Amino acid sequence: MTSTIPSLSVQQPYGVQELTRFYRIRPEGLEKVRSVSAQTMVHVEQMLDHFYVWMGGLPDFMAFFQGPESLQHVRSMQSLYWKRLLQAEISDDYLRDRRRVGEIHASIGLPVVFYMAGVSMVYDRIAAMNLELFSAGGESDVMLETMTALLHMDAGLICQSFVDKRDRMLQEQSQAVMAMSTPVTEIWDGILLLPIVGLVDSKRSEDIMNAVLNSIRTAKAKEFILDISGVGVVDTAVANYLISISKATSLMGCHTTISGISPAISKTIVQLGVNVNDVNTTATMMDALSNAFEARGLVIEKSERFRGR
Amino acid sequence: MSLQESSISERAALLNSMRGFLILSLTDNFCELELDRIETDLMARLAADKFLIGVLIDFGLVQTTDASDLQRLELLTRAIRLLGRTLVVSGITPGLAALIVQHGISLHHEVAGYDIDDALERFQSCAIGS
Repeated sequence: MTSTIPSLSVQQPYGVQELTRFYRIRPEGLEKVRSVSAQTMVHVEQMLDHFYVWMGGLPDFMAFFQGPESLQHVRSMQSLYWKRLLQAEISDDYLRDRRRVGEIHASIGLPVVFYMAGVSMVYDRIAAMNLELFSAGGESDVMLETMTALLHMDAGLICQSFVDKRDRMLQEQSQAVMAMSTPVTEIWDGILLLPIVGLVDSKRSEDIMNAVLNSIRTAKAKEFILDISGVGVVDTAVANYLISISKATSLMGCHTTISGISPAISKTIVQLGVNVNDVNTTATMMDALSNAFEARGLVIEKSERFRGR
Repeated sequence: MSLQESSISERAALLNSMRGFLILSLTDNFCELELDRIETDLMARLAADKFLIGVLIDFGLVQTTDASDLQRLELLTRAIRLLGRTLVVSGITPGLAALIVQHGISLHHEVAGYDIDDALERFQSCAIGS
């Protein structure tokens, strides 16, 4: 099922070369970060202390941690991340690791706004740390520029993979909903039944047509019953789709019966100018089933035991 | 060898006959020009053999096509019906079926089947039934 909302996912995740170009990360900047990583790391630990004090005051953020152990675990992971960041080696593995964090955020439902608030808080601390470590001017500027670019790149990767993961989750849910909304079932050898309930729009009609035609091919069905007694009204586009389904199944050698057409739907079909001989209809699903069995050479009879009751 | 260069007899090989039917197997790249030539061959064969029951068009090798080729095909099927012959179709995929109805094309077929054998069997059971 294709979503009508455009996907925000990128076709192919960007690699080291593209990302360093996008974020203007230069080798001399990375070299600068590497050269002072030991000094910086001391400040990073202090920054993390500060970060967790700050976060401790925000119950909305703390709700994502199951307890002190979980908090401690995340903190140790963050410490590792900073060590890695200060090594300033941007590799495919590094990018993968960042993307994995975004996926975790998407899985636990951490709002992007919370994550970005954390990034903003860290950014302020980085700027302050930079001033403490370097005198203002050339060296400080290079360091701050590079650290800013790295943080932005990491945040970008995390947000993008968050979006990608959510897109995939939505797609999976959408497929599950489609499967539930178009339960084409082979009720007997060569006979397919699809009862439709609820609102039908053009998108759902298209999904129904695809599901029906594919099921016909798989089951090599010869009879298809589309029961729409659970559908109140449809617009002309949907009515047209229902007729098209009937015609398309016929091209595949499958005879379609539409049962349970409401007076309102019948009026819509008539307005389309459809030749009623082109569509096979019955008042009830029972009639449609009975006709389908007959067409397949089957007879429904009461067993001996129930005769006379 | 291009289609234009192929001889009538070679092109007629597209039209094998089976159980009283001329079998027309379309390939994925059938086009208007090819259909024009096929129509000429087909009409000649139908005119020459009064015992032919009808024509079976097999789409088993056709994955997709466009509206103009389908419209041309519709004319061909109408011509077959006007000659009083039965038209049977086979091998239409779900995607092709959706495309045909989407373009409002009618193939004027009486019977359809999953493949050639299935279509012919269905035709025979219909004939016996009637």
